[in-house]
Amino acid sequence: MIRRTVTIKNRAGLHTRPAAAIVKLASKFESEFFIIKEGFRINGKSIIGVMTLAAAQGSQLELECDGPDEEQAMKELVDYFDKGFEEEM
Amino acid sequence: MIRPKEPKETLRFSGIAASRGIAIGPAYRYFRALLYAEDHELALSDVGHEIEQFDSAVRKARQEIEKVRRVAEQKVGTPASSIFEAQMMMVSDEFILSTIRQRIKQERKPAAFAVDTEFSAHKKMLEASESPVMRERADDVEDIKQRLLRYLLDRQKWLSKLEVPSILVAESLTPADAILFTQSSMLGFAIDGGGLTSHVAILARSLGIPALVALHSAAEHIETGDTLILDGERGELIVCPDPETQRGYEQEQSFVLGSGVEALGLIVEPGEPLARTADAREVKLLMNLEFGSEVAVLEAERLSEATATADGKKRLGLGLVRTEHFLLLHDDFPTEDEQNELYLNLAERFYPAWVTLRTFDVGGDKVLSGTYREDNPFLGWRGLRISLDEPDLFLGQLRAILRASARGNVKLMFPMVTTADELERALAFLQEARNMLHATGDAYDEHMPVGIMVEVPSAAIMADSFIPMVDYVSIGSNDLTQYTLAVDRGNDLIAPLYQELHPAVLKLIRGTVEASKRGGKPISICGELGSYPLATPLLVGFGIDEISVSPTAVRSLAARLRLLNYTECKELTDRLLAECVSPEEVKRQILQFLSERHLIDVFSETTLRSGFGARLIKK
Repeated sequence: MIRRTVTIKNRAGLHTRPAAAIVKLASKFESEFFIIKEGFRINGKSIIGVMTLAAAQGSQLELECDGPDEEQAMKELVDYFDKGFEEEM
Repeated sequence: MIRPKEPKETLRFSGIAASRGIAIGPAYRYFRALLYAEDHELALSDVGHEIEQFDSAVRKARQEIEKVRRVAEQKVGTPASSIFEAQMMMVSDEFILSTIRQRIKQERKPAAFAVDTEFSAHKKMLEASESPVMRERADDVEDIKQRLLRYLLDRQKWLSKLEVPSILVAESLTPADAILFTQSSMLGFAIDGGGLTSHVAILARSLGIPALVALHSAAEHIETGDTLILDGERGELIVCPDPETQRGYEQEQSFVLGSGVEALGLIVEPGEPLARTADAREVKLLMNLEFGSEVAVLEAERLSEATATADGKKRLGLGLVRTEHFLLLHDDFPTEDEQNELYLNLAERFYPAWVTLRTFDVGGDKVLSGTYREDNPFLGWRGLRISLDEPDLFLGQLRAILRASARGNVKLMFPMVTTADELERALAFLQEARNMLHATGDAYDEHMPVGIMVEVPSAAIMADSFIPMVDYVSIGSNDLTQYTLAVDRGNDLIAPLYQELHPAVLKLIRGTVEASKRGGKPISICGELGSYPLATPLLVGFGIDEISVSPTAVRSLAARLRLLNYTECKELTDRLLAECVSPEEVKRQILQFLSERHLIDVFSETTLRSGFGARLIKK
């Protein structure tokens, strides 16, 4: 199990489009994926769950991957967060 | 593959123009009732079947969303249609789906109930978000929930809302629905039910969007995507018009948008009143804030700014803020602090003009989810009656209002006052609220004017006994009419019986005005009568000091007032009430009065020309 802290960089925050993309990305991997925000833990493969985080620009999230391909999953997910979901920052 | 539609036959329907203007665009066929599910425990033997039902509903929902997504992609392109892709992912969210399956299996909940509660919980979380974008997503979750419930509860086919500007067509519409739809681009709406003064009609006028009501059986003939012309000038709905008709309307539309009454405008010189009659009698104008959305507030605020004096001092205030509409936006009673924030925001934005806050008037047709169902809600637990029975709620609202009054531009108003005893009790609560704030050291306006709505005949008849206790009186003509004539204005079977110009109603209004004058208290009117052109000479003649109408009606009212002479109007009202025994006679006398003064065109009833009764003319 590995954990990383990421920051929401894009202006619009974690809205529907990036939420959908994260779920899509996470679902490629066998590992379980959770997002933790202010002690609130949601399943990262659930789009409604990810949306309910309502994470705005600047908020910090903890990502947690657990499973056989956790390294690769975490790398790609962190990468996507770091790029600000390929949106205006 | 999507094939172009067969050209459809042109259909015309007559209804009542509830809000003027012309809209041209595609129909969006809306089925109103929001579904909810009831809880009970499943028999163990039914669990398997219930799970199958649930899985089948999910499959159908996916197919349906995929279809809508393709249509959207074709009509509005990929970016706008991506919302349906997100909806698709939501309805395929294994995390939620498996939670629901588990609740059916382990807790033996009906599928519909599990769907309702699970999705509602997520919706609540989204609604609580600080981000407006996220809050809007709550509607998507509701969309999906409703879609699943529809399949589970075996209701009619239902299309999700398309993100294109549309004319909404429905059997009926609640104010809450209308509010939801104003967040997307609704060009106008046409409904089978309703009347001129139903709340959705009032809402349409306050939004300034064209609307038709009482179309009877129009909705069933219209499908989403049909081209519609909504003619709010003549009260007509044209379905699938021929190109020539449509071109004609497009020309007229551009004319209506920029013309007429607008040009007459308001008097805006500093030191001059906003509106006065031809013989220089000032009539104060105010606006009704029909519901609390930011769109409505902004519209009112813009008009207030546009009519401010040269040094920027606002004069056009709010004559009626229906605080219960904040409930529709909140889904529950807001806390004292939340209310205070809303009220203070209004008081500051309109300062130094007045902001009149009416305490919650729930019940009647303003149904609050979760309230007790009554056989006769209009004659039931509503308005001030609820407030007096719920001291914590009432005191909380009174404190929130008092705390917003510190700068001295807030007025308080009690709705649905029926007996003097109720008013005495309400005033005792107000005193208690003041004492509490005094004890905690919170600032408030010690002289905040307190008034009552006169909207129940008993209050109009006994006005003399109420007036010494209040600072002002406001006539609510809508409820006063329906209680006097025993007509439910929302019931289109009897809509023609709802006649604001009935002499019985006018006599009660005049009696209330005279009582106020005897008591030396200002008198205003904040019902629909204020914006009804034919009633303007009567309101002037009665000597009403202030008229509060929806923002879109302010300019035309000011224009009409300028054309009238107080002395003449007074003669008219005296004669009319002495002679007339029917609303038809009242109308005839007013029309004659207007035509003698060549004012018929300005006061004409084009906006109100009604087509009572079902008339379907096939072309």
